[in-house]
Amino acid sequence: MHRHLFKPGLTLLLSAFFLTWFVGCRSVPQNEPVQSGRFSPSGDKIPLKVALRLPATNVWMGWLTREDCIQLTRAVFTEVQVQDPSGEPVGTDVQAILTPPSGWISRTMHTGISAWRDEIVTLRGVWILTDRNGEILWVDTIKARVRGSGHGPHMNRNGRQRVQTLLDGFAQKSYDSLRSAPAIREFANFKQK
Amino acid sequence: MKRLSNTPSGGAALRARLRLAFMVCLLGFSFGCTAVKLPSYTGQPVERYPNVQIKNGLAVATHPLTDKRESKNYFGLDLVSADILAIYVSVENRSPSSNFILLPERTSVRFGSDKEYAPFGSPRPKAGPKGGPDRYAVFATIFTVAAPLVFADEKQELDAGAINFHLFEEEFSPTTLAPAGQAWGFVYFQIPGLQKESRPCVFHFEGIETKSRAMVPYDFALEINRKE
Repeated sequence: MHRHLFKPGLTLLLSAFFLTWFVGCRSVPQNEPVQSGRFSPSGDKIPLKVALRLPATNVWMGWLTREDCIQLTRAVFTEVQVQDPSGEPVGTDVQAILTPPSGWISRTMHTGISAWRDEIVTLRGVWILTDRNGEILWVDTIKARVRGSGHGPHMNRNGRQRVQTLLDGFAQKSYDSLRSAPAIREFANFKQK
Repeated sequence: MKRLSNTPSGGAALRARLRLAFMVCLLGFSFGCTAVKLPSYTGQPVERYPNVQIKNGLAVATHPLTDKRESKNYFGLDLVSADILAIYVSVENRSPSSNFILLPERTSVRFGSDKEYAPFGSPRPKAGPKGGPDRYAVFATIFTVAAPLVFADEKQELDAGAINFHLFEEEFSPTTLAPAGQAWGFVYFQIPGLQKESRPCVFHFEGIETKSRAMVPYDFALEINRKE
């Protein structure tokens, strides 16, 4: 054991430990807007005139932007009427009303402490399609999950990339779920007759 | 040890030992503090559960998680002792053409004729333009399930976070089941005094057939037996 290396080594270790500790304690900014990637759909659209009902609060916009939501819906349905909460009521020709997840549920689990921890973030949101009378035609819960090391998802470039991956995954799963839902196709076929 | 034996005094040897012990503690603290790892609940095929009902092609099986060991294994704590009843629900759509909407917030647990409990954090939704959609955000909120757990140190806090995360991950989510589709997960109920007595209850579940809008009800008579 090289005793002369002991003190510098210990000092270095302690410094690194406490530095990473305090970095980890830094506050994570809330609702920081993150632009989700552009969504590029393909294939046949569902022949349905849908009103996209955007939520009253803007809190959720920090996760999936309004434009992304509209783009995604327009990629699935042939006609989309965007309806803001303060806007005009649903048109008489609208056949169904799609409500994107207005309440985002996300959970973060840390698998360790300080600099050595891993972080798993799960995002969950519920899409609902109703008819004009409010009867639920289709509902689905979309989950996206990302794992990485380090501190909060907003803290650094890697964290931002993880959030981007999370949102892209959520958007893609939402798109796949909407497009492949037999219940929506069934309703669209019924309306076509 | 050879080095220690060569030290000139007992004080120096003690200091060396203390340094070593400090380093071991530091490393142990740094790398030993990891959150508890909880396995996902491995559900069985629907037929293997004693509580199974099949109606209109929709098969539903339920299993209340009252076994202490099983609960600790999958959730890291005895849920019943925290007055939480977790009921595992497994659903299979065996109909060739029907789709079913499954909404966990429309489940309930009823004791006798007067006490009925809705799932944790789940007000009954009223779907429709006026009120429904926003309320759906609430049902999934099980964050406070871990609230009874008051943790003091970071390791326990990590464990609480992991348990909370696991409860969230394992929760039954609203979905629409297509033919041959399957869905499973836990529905949580907070029932005061749950651990004090064994008693029968009725677990209500329902599916909505999308084409006919017919509601298919399922009522399971369950015995909440406290198992050690």
